[in-house]
Amino acid sequence: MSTNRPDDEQGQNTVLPPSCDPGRKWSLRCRALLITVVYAIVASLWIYASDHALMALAADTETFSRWSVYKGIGFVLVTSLLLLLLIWWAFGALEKAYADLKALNQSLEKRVRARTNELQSVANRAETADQLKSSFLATMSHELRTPLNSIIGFTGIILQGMAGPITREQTKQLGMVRSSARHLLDLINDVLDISKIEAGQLQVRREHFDLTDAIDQVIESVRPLAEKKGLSLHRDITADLSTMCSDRRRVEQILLNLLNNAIKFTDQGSVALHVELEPAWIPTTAAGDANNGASPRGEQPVPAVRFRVTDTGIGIRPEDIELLFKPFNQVDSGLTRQHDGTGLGLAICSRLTKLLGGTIKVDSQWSQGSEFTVILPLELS
Amino acid sequence: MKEPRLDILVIEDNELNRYLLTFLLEHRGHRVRSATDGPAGIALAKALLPDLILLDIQLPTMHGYDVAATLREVESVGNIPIIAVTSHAMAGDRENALAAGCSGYIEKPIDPDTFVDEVESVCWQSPDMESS
Repeated sequence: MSTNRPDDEQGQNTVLPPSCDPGRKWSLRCRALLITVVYAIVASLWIYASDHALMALAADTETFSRWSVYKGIGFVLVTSLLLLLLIWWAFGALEKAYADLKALNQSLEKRVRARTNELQSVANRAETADQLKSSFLATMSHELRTPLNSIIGFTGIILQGMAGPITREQTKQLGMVRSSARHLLDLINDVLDISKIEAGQLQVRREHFDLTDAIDQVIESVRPLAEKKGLSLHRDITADLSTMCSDRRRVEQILLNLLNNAIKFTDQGSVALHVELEPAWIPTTAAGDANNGASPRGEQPVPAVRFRVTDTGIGIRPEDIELLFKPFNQVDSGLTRQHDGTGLGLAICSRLTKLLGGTIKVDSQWSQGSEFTVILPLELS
Repeated sequence: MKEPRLDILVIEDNELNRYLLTFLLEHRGHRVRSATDGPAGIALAKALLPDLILLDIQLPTMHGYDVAATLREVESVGNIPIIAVTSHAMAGDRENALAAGCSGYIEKPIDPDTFVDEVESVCWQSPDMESS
């Protein structure tokens, strides 16, 4: 785009042909004034001088008046000719200006057409790239899951002893194979999710569901993880929750990600999910990056639900909070080995929250624990 | 095996997956026959009249949804429950599968611990689903 710049400036200079240059207006008027003045002087002098000469030459008054008439007619003829020449010249100049303008207009039209075509082809290319991306995603999704299907499937079969007895050591090692394969599957799913969100292809569903039921399901699915680490896991619902109209799978995904994170980064103490109703929540355009944000609604307050996930874990340094919702940013790379995960969980949470018309924020004190707050409208518009 | 044995037709092009599904189902005592593409699967379904059809959605010659829709139109096999097994997992896949006439939907990679239970539950449930 920037390469077109000098071209444009050149274009600016040639926009008006010299014949239409407004600066020329004054030089033309000056010339008209000059011609008039010269004409007035020359004509007056001529009349004066010729009358004198005629008076001296003419023998009597009759001859003088006759010659005077001829002289007058001759003068009119000569000045008419001059006038004609002047008009001719002026019209010529006008015609030239008109022709120049017309040519300019045509060249401008041509340039506009060329630019439009250029833009169109860029847009087309972008659209093709987008389609390629989505078919690539679909293909990758299939191609990557097919071998994983075999790995996870057969590992499970052998682990369950369906294919014959195995030793303790083999069980342990196959367990590792299975958990690695599941981790790989999580990674693929997360990368696909975030790509789909970035490409604007993630469609949210609108369905009525029992919120308490969804919360219980999420809590039950993370409970084994918390118990394994010896953490207490609380579910604290203060309000009378009824049905929510949103994308249940995505709401659960957000809560699951936040709870998994809380458990992952907490070594002792507790993890809790608090759920409160917010009868008149005013949707705000959330801080952080605004990619794929929900369309900014008016200031109309809507009923919403507030989820708070609190933990007593390692917390987040203030300088790291900003990085938190960016993809592939597990804060402190030193921790990556200690806490496995895709590093995409919070990026997905933040994007999903926006897609569902809500906001997400985090309060944390280093080494004290963190609190993630998600507010979602009860009714997805 | 207290439950009655089921006759199951697996339509799946990938050899490893076919083996995996067959192994899991046979381990529970079900009888499994398989086809590797849509037309063969439809022919086999008509010939065998199985209790249940497990259908991969991404098949080489004929798309799984078309196979399901075709099967639904054949009177003799129209009431056999079909379970779509797909790794596609894009938006709307579940809806598409159900719209094409499938009774259930299982996402790949399958969980070997729960897969057969899921399959059986669809099959035991399906008479109610059909009457509604």
